[in-house]
Amino acid sequence: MDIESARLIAKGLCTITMGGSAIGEGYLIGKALEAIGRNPKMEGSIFSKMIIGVAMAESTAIYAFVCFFIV
Amino acid sequence: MFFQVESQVAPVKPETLFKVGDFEFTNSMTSGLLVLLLIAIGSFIISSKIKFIPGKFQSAVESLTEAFFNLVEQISGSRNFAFKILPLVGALFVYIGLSNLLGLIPILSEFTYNGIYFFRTHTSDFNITFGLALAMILLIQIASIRDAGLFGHIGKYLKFKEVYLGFKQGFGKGAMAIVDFIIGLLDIVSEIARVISLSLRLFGNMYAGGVLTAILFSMFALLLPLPWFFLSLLAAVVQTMVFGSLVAAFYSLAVDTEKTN
Repeated sequence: MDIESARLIAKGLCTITMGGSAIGEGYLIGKALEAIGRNPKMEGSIFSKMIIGVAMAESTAIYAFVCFFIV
Repeated sequence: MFFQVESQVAPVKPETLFKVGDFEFTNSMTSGLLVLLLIAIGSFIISSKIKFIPGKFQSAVESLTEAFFNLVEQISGSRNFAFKILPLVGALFVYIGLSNLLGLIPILSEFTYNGIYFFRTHTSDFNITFGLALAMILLIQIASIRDAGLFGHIGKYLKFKEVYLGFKQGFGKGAMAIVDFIIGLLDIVSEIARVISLSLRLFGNMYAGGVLTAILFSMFALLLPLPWFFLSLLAAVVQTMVFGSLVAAFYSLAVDTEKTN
């Protein structure tokens, strides 16, 4: 196997990370919606915290994106 | 094709515009200087025209400052401590937020100089985000030394004292203290990991935004990039908030927040 094809396979493997990030974000948003459903008065506070949490969960996908460009 | 606009994907490394001696002036520095200029002019205008009854601009700035203060107070849990670190965290918010949002202005990103884009989004340069994150973590370390003393600060990572006190009380407590000692060693690694994760998060989000915009423009211009622009507007604001609030959270973890007055 030459180095270029190995690099392409590595780039493909990097994209698998999307799955993990999607699971994390879905779980986070689902839990936040559950909390809003139980206590609708807290919606503003929960929503802003959820957005920050989603950004943190998304950063794992961003690390993979950086790896994608490094390989 | 009508719908496909040729746009160039920016390389990871910022491009050199011109050289002054050995110093390379890159295209992310120009936008940084623009941000600095905007902040300087903005603060000059605000500070020269402070009135008791605020005008439109002053009340906008005041409510923004209040929002920053409430966020920092919520994170650190202490009002006095929030007053103390608001200048640092607020400056981070303004600086990173402006440099993130400046990259989204359409006309500004089209200026070229010798075939190189003149304004690259300031935070999509890894050197700058890494420098920012490293400076923040070093500042927090210094604040921790000032708060707990040099030996107290080292004692947060190398917990010899706790092991000694634990074995004095009995074998079970001593064994638990050894586990704590190993966790304390891991904290040294986590300090380094903080620098990397803080800088990579901001850089990656901003760079990914630019790359994806370029790809979408070459796929189906006019329609497809539009929702992505809204999404990157959200990402720019959220990443600013994440960076600032993480710095505030690390700061309040490192320093005894109840003691400050």
